[in-house]
Amino acid sequence: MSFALLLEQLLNGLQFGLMLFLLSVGVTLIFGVMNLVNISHGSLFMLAAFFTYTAGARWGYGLGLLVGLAGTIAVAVLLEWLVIRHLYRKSHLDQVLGTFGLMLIFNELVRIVWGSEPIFALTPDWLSGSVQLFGTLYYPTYRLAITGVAIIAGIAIWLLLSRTRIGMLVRAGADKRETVESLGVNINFLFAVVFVIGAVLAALAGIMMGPLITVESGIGDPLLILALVVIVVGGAGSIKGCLAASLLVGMIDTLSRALVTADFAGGAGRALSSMSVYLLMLGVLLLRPQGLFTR
Amino acid sequence: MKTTHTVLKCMLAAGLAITSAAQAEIKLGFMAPMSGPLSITGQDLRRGLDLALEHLDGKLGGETVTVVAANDQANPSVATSELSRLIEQENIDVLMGIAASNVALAIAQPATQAGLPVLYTHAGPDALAGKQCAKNLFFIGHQNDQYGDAMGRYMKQEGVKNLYAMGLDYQAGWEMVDAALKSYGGEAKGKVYTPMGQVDFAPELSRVRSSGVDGLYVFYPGSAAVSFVRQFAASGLKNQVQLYSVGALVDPTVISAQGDAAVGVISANTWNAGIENPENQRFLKDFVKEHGREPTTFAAQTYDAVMYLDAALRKAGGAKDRDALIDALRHNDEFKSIRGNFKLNKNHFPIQDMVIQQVEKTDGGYQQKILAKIEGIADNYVDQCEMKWQ
Amino acid sequence: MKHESSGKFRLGADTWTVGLILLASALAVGLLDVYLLKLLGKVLIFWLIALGLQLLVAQAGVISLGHAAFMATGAYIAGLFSLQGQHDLILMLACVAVACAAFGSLMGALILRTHGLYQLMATLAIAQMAYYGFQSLRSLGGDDGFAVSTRPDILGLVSLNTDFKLLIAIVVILAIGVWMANRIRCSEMGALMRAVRDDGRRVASLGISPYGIKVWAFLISAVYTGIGGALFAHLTRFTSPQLGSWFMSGELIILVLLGGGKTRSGLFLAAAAVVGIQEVVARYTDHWPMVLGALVVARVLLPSGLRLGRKSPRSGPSAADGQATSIQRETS
Repeated sequence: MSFALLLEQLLNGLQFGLMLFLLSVGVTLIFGVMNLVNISHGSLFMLAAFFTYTAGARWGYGLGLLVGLAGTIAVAVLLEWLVIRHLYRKSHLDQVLGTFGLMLIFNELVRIVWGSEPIFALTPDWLSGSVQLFGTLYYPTYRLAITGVAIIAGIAIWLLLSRTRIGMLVRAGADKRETVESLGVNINFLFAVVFVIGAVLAALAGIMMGPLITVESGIGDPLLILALVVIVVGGAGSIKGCLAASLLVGMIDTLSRALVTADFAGGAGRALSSMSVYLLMLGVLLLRPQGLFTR
Repeated sequence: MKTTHTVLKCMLAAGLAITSAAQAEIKLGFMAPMSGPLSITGQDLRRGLDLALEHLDGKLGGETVTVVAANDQANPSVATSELSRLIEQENIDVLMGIAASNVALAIAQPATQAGLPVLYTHAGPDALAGKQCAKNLFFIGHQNDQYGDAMGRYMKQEGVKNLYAMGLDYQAGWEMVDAALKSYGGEAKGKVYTPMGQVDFAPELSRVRSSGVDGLYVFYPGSAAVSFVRQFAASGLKNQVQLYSVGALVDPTVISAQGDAAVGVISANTWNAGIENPENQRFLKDFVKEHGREPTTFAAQTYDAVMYLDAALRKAGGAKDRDALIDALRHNDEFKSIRGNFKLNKNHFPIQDMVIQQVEKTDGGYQQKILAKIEGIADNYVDQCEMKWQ
Repeated sequence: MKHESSGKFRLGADTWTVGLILLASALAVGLLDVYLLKLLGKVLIFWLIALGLQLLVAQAGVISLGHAAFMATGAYIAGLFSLQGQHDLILMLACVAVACAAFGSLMGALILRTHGLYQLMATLAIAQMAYYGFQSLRSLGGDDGFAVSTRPDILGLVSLNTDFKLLIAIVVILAIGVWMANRIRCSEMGALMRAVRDDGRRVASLGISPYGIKVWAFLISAVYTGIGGALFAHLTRFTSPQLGSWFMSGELIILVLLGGGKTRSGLFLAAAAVVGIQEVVARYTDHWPMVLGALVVARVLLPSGLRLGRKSPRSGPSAADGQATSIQRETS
């Protein structure tokens, strides 16, 4: 592999890792604060993309973004109030099954409203094209934009949690719910706020990734499984762990695909590379269940 | 006394009229994936069927037809029980439809055991083209390898010097890539299969770029088609490498999501809107009028299959004599395909002309311009089939 | 939290209901047409699998989102036997039992080192790897799968080539399965499972390894699921990796969710509901998954006493359960 190719692949790995981070950070935040596994996070991802690009096709990209974010927040608030709120105290399996049921419902709702065919996700001109990084290495502008958004989102969440009053209340509520309640803080409202923040992160991921992948029913689901893998590897509930794990998984996945060919190990190589992410997760679960990057 | 006699005669006449009217009806079973990830395909299969029946005034072979629909959910176990229902409870005369290969395989044996004639409109698995061919199974759409075969021949013809191949890592993907490489004749500089559910193709695209090939042949259906084509265009590879594929990569259901990224893609297909014959023009015009977009190959093949069945039923005089119907389906000279030349091979799979097309941007949207025709494409499994009737 | 009555099982309402259902099924087999026979067969097979899973989930308190792997294993073994021309039913089922017992103990041994969400993820991971494994077998049709053309026969005497005969065999196997599950529940093993579910440390203090008990439960449920898979392959005359997908694993655990942890007849209703939605409701609406989803959500939200898996403690780093790391720790 030439140096330029290696550099390009490293950049691919970094970018894929950050994309994973944008997707997983919402899930790990919600898990860390409310101890809730949310499979329907992928549905919020999907809805945001649908809202944005349907509106965007009619009224332009900017308004599309606003509609996407606002719409997803509205759905999240409703969802939390109607269903999610009642899942906090249930076992993880109940949460998985309940949010799995929600995912099925959302997938069909999208089919009913938008049909089964994928819709067009427009990209504004200033985000299309490539940027010359150096020499012969051109990198798509859009992917760099996703990377930027992911970094900003991560910093914003970290600042929110560690430097603001709400963040402090959230951390306290995560640890000692009853104490915080006895101080007169409305814990239900707090948890709803956290859920909505998670939804905004999912929405950002969906809006950013829509043009890259597809916008159709069920796009969030395979990505959600990957997000769960990242969270387990990084330590569920830990944002720094999530970042580190995303980058690790992104790098491993990218580099293995950069090297493996169809005939590697007589075809078994391909099955292995699909399995590699799961093998990593299994290894972490067995050897260091609290995650690779937590204390 | 006399009145009773008359009444009885009238009742008898009425009874005969009713039974003969009932006998003049054809019950057509239609099975397709109407829910789940393949629902797009199933819905267009249905549109093709509905338009054909509309053009035939709701009659097949001159007799009124009742369509009994079944949703196979692209799930073999659901398909087998739905087939049971269609045969046992609905007493269908003929079954038509099916898009998924696994469903095609799953219903083959039960249908044969029941002696039910089946017209597969969009599935064409290898297994049923060879040793497992059966006299009641007819494939009006294609044999899976035909797309890759035609594309491979075209690439060889055009002198594509260095080729890279990529596909989705599943049965259909392996078949499509292998078929193309076989008729291309040369070695691919690189061959990569990507797992299902993979949404990001950056590492593979980087490898393609660095390999310096001038042609990239891929097979990606459905949502993977949208992601791949968009990422291919965004990576800037479009200027260096020509993308070759099969019709599914850029068909009307995905092309609106792909936008300009699809322009320039060359693909092989069994049908094209530009094929000039009166049957095709009629089909195209009415489909666009009713659905606001061009038909997909799924719709086109199903339309053809209905017309095929209609011609055969006319010849056989109805569906009641199954042997006569099968004979008519085999020797269906009256049939005029919207695809042009069409004939059944010994194994009941088509010998047809494949079209090589390229996506072009027009005022109205996108169009598939015909670049070439590869004539008389059959399949590689016909010799393994033991049926003899030609 | 209600305790199961261990020791001798009274012939309670549940047992009578189960007996009635089995009898009704046997009678129905003689009366129904082929289509309804197939549906009944699917319901009975799912009931069989759910019985095994209920043992694991409700009795032993272990959760698994990966049991479809065993269903696929059973189905593929059945298919392979048919392909090789080996048609003895008992031999085939014995082989399925052994294979799933082995696979089940291995998988159980691995995942039981984890708890809660992590246990869930571990089962999912192993099942996904098995799924990819089946999918990669090009000679067996890859992800398409292959047709299982010949039905098995019993000791070379009676061939199960009609759906009617196969259904009779399924009812018989199911009756055996119900009886065995009952025996396990009432036995010392069953009592130990419940004790381990409720307080593993106390069991350990008695000198019995809770880990070992749970592995046994996993093994037993794996065998039930595998046999169900083999029967399913013969009923539908097809086997494919789809039987091992995470969606199928979800459907299996939904059976126990809907059916409840206590009664066996409840599981029958759950199986009937799931098959009914996927096959009958599907004829009236293409959006049948929404109905299933709504049913699942409704069931989860119901404030009834179903405890599937333990409620994991929320605060602090609980090493025994490997729970969530508090956000507080890392941002302070």
